[in-house]
Amino acid sequence: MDKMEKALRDKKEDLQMVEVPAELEERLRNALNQRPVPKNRKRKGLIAAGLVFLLLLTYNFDTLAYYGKKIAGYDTLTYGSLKELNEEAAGQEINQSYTFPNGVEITLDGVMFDENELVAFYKIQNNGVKWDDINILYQIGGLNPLGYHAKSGQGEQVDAGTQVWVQSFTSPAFYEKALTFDMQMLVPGTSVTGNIEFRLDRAKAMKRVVKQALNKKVRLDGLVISLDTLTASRLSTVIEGRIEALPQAGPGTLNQMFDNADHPRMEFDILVDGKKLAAGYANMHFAGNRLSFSSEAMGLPTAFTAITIENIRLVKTVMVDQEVTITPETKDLRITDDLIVKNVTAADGNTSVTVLSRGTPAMGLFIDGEQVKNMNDQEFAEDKPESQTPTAKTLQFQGQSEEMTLAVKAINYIKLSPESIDVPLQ
Amino acid sequence: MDLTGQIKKAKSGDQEALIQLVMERKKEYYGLAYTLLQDQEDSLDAMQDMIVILAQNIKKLRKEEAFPSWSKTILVNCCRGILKKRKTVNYTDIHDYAAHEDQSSAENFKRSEERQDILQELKKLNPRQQEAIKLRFFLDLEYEKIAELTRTPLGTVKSRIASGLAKLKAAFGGEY
Repeated sequence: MDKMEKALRDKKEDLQMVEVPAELEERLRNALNQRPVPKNRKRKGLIAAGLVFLLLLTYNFDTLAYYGKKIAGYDTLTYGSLKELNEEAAGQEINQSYTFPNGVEITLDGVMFDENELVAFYKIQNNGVKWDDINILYQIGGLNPLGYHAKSGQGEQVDAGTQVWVQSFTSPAFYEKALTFDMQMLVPGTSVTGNIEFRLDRAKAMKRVVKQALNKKVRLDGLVISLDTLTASRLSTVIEGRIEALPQAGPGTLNQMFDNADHPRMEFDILVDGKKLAAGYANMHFAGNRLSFSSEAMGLPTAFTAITIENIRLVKTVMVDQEVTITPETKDLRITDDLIVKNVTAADGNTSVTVLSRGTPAMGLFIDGEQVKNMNDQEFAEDKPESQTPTAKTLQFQGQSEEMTLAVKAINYIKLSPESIDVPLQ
Repeated sequence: MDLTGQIKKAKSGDQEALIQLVMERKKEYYGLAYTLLQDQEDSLDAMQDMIVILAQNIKKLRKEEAFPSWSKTILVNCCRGILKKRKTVNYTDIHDYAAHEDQSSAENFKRSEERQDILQELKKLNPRQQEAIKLRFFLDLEYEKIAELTRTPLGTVKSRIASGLAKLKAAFGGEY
């Protein structure tokens, strides 16, 4: 053996001294248990039949804010390219039901899928069971022992006994054909499971239109946000990437910022020929010192020439959940450390509420127990960056009264990057 | 429980069985990852990536006795993925001044310096040559084993090691 080889082999001694970190087992267990959960959505796969969770920039009890997808019977849950796909009968009909022992019946009407997600269209018929008592967890089962977890979804009451729902799941692997729509109904102290078997017709899959490496980086708030890939079909558009802390931010920065329930969300707008695709679902996966994200939006139109990514932002939503009584004479009413009602004015049947905050509050006004229309909510739906010091924001509501209730749901703090990224299309 | 029994349990979806399969050989797996990545966090990340892939694919494993090689091949690929994502090589090689060595010994100090020089030059080789040399000399693996783990023809493995060594020797002006 020559000297070089001996010198290399000597290195082996050093490696033999390397100890296996004590945290290894826990890391392995966490890796298996931690699926990419939607940390910025509170449901994590559990959909209470009487609850719809909104990503709030404005606060409105009655609005179902997100995209819906349709197979026959889901007329009010359609939007954009998904409506088109529905009209083209692009989904796969299933039409199978399962009835729980308590009489609640689930009918899986159909599915639509591409390489990013599978969307299930289903109906719940309560058959006399109270809607508030119906809490069901959903998952798609297949050969993969871990299954495919639920992501975003929304539903609507059709009549007193029926709700229709649209729910997206992670996409089944390429080898999956025989799947099950797994349901776990939570009842006090236990749960009841059921499933609907169906066979995926891959001929019905939405074909990928774009798969593009982006390899773009943006710096924001001491972080480097890397947008790695874009994969899109007519059903969905997904951008995946990573977040890393700048070296000068110091060790543990990512953990401090993101490894907690109140961490900021990473969002951006995807524009196709200048028109924004509706945002869908975003999740972050934090493992060790790596933070990866996957952000979804609606699918692409049939023809387009350009895709741009803009308004890359970090959004931190601080829940407030407070209600205060206000009158037209209210001045300088402190709600939180960063939210003061500066003044309230009433004129011509309308009410203006001016607040001071560094962020953008999500608020609603109630008169005699009814929520009144917010007339300038679009001003606050735009992604305004937070300010260093509190600034005045005036919300205008339709209606006035001597005594009103201001319900403050949350304050959004947004750090916004000025950069925009043109996606090269090949 | 023997290997076959544990793997059967893992195939039926028992995550704990899969974790124990890895933990019973943790020194081998971690040693392999650390050899290639030279970084504790990256090595733990690679093992996390590996176990997720194992969980997703273990049902496809036909011969239980192939599990160790199969899983280590997956680990090597996970390590390669992490190496690709690195912007700069970030070696935290703290063991050149190993605790058991007498640091007052000039001979030991010289040896440590030489090793550090060799490691610096090793980093300049292409990733596949580095990988093959590390597996051969740091882990004492036979050529056939390296070929199996890296899914590379045997001749290619030997060629990578030979050419890598030649470059290292040239870097030291033939001193070695």
